[in-house]
Amino acid sequence: METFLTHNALYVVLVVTMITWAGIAITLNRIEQRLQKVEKKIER
Amino acid sequence: MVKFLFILAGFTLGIGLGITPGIIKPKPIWWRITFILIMSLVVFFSLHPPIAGTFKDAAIAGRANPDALVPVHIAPTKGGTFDTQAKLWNVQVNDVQNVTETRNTVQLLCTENLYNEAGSFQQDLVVYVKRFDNDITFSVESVGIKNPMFTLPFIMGLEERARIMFFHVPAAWIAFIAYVVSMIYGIRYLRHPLPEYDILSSSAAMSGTVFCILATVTGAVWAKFNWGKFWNWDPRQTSIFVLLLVYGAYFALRSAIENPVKRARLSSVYSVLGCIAALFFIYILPRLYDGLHPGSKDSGNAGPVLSTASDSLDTTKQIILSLAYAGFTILFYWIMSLSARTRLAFSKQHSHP
Repeated sequence: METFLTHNALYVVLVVTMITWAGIAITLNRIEQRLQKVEKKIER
Repeated sequence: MVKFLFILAGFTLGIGLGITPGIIKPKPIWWRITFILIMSLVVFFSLHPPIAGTFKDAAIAGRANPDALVPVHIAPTKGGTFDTQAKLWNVQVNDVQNVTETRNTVQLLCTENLYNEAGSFQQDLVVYVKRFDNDITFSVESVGIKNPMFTLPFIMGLEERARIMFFHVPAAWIAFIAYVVSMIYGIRYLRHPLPEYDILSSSAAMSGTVFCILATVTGAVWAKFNWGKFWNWDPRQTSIFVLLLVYGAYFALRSAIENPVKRARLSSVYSVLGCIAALFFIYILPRLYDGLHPGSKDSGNAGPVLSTASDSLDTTKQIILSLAYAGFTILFYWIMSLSARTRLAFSKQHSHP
């Protein structure tokens, strides 16, 4: 794996971008969950 | 025609899923998973397929620059013969693109190490070649990806930088869609002055401006390495700069008025004018003048994204681009939804303490 990534720089970019996207997706999902809790609280 | 169907399919999926189950409704778990999956596919397929051209590309690039290294996708061969004098492997490869009109095979010259690394050329692989004396002889300089799922075309002068299309173009298009959504809710507010329409209109404008800034910044970084400078005052760069000023003025206007009814009414009217300005600055003005962007007046066509010429955009790229349109549109609707619902929750809490 390490040798493959050393010889194929583009896949390093792919891994970095996928990690960044995973971080953004997790953050968006958490904001959505928290907002849903707040909305339920206000509805009550 | 097929191209426009792909574009339509991308936006239909994006808008359809974006407005489900309602912009100010909580997003169910299946919705979030679907979106994350679509966007993950966009990121993966934008960066994963190797770029590989044909021997024709390598011949043309080699004529222009003898040191040009071009990735070429080659089908499995029966192996090569070893030239003991030159200490090089000699491999005959079928070239489906026909480098010359009379021959459809090319000769590859390869060192022992690279020949072994390429598995004796008995598998599907991408190799980096350099033109060697003539258009049908190439030297193998390195071995790339073996058995690629699929490849993206090699475009001389762009090469790996062509991948910006999957992020920069959808960001600019989604900025325009956002301004249209902002205008729609602006008009709805003017017809029925409900505070939530004002919140939706300004949330759409805010999200649109985020995408507009992303399109500007990604374009500037790319321009540095393709055109030599971050900012070239190309008609499209100038027009997006003016568009950012137009929407900067929109937010300045909103923050300057304290009366919420007056603020909502004025900014609704502004959102209609802003959308007309966006249409002009994104789709019309950059096509009227000569410029660096594809689709400028001197390009001779509408650019790879909109040109009706069948060879203007590879089908694989078109599919990934359409998927990116869908992903970015849903992302816009989610950001807009989060922004609008936060503000609605805030205003509800203040009206019912």
